[in-house]
Amino acid sequence: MTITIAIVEDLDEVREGLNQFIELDPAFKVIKSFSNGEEAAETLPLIKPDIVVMDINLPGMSGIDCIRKVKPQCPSIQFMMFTVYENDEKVFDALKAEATSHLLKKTDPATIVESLKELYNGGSPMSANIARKLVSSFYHENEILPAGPARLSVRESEIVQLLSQGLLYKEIAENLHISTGTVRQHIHKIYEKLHVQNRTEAINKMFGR
Amino acid sequence: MLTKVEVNNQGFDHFTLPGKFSYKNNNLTFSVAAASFIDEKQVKYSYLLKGAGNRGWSIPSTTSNFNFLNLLPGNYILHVKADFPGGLYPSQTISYPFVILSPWWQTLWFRLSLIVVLTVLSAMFTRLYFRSKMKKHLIALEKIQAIEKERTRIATDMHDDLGAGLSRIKFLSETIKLKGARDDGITKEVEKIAAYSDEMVEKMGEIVWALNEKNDTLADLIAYTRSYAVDYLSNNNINCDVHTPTDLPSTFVDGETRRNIFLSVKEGLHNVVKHAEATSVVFTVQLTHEFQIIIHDNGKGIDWANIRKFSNGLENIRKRMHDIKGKVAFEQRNGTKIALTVPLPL
Repeated sequence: MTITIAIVEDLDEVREGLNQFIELDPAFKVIKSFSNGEEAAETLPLIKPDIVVMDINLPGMSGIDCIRKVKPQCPSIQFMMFTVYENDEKVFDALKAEATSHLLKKTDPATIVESLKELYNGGSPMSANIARKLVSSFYHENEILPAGPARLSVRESEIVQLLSQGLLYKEIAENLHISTGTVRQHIHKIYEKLHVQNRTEAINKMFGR
Repeated sequence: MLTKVEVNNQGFDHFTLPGKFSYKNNNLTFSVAAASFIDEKQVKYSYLLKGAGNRGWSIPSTTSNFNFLNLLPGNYILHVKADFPGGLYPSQTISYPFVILSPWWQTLWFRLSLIVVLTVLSAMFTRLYFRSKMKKHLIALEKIQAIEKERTRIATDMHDDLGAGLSRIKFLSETIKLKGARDDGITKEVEKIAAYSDEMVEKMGEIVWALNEKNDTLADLIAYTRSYAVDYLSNNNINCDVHTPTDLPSTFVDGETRRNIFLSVKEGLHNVVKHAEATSVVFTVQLTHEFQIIIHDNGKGIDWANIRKFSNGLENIRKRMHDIKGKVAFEQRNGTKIALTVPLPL
């Protein structure tokens, strides 16, 4: 079954380029491309793609607001944030607002496609830098994680520790004698758990903003 | 016994009780008389005014009045002794205590309240002075902040516009590569376009990072720098071993320091890749009484004699470190060791 993709990007060359690269891989089908957030917010719930590649810097409604509108209506849609810079404040806001992954625009097409596959298969592709900051910011807001499904396992806590020291995925993998892929899967779980934990507070913040 | 008391040459009648005289009434004359059956002119009197600093009794004389002029404020007791000639009667003494009151400006109460008032006044003035100083300081700070904010806003706008443009270029070049896949003639140039665009985006990203206030702790600086080091070196097939302290403090680092440290590291690594012919680098961060980053490669070492080629870069490092009151040291030992040191606190 093909993975359905939608693209929301206002720069023509980027949007059309992305379209072409993704469609090169038979696993994917780009069902719709949008050049602004308003149209996307209206139409995405109707076409329900598997993954949406969402630019943050849109002319009218921002990418973040678009996600906030669409995600509640269709929680199954995965959002991959697409930005020029990594150290953007907006990246955080987006990831906290339920985007599950992040990609830099300067990534080469092959890697873009790889990351989309990873996202579809349950990963949370994002750079170690971003993951580190995300995790530590979640930690700051929730000092103690409760018991139950949101609690981190021993391995996950180890990874959070190494991540907060600034280690890259490859280094974490070497350190714990596991594969980079496993590290990424753990990051995804950690991210989800922290997100669940954070959800109630985040929801009000999200909608309030 | 006392027969008469004059104050400033005026009669004072109430001398049966201890006297209280104001400081102006400080010229006193006392007249005494001893009751006796003998000729009173032969009675000899002597006095001792206690409180006036006199130690001894005066020489007995028949003068029966005593003048005291300009008595200072204080407690006095006037003792008068009457000696009778021939020892017929034992001597008699009378004592008359009196007080010359201090003028109001000399009293303890006044002095205390004066001290209190002066202390309060000086406290008030000091407070006002510091308040106005602080206010001026605050205004200056606000101005600086406003300028910073405006700078950041301008920079952010620039970054967004430049970033968008560069992304277009990148994607165009990737599209060209796709379309012209069979035409080798243009591939190299097209790849260069893409590479330069990526490089520009990266540089912009670094500026954004240095400006972004959120990335302002030492931990962030270390994380960002090591991440760059590992990435850059592995992209050039050089192994990178990183050692950082496990406890990364959240001390603040200002924008200029962040930038200079990062760019010095970048320059140092660039030299390793371009000139050292090394296969691995040990990247160490140390936090003792100073902040230190050590880049140790296993290459062929710096040819100091032939240094013109990349002298600019090393000079840049020196200058950058100097600007933030730090220093750089080069050591040749199993390759080259570049040590960047900045004193704490940053």
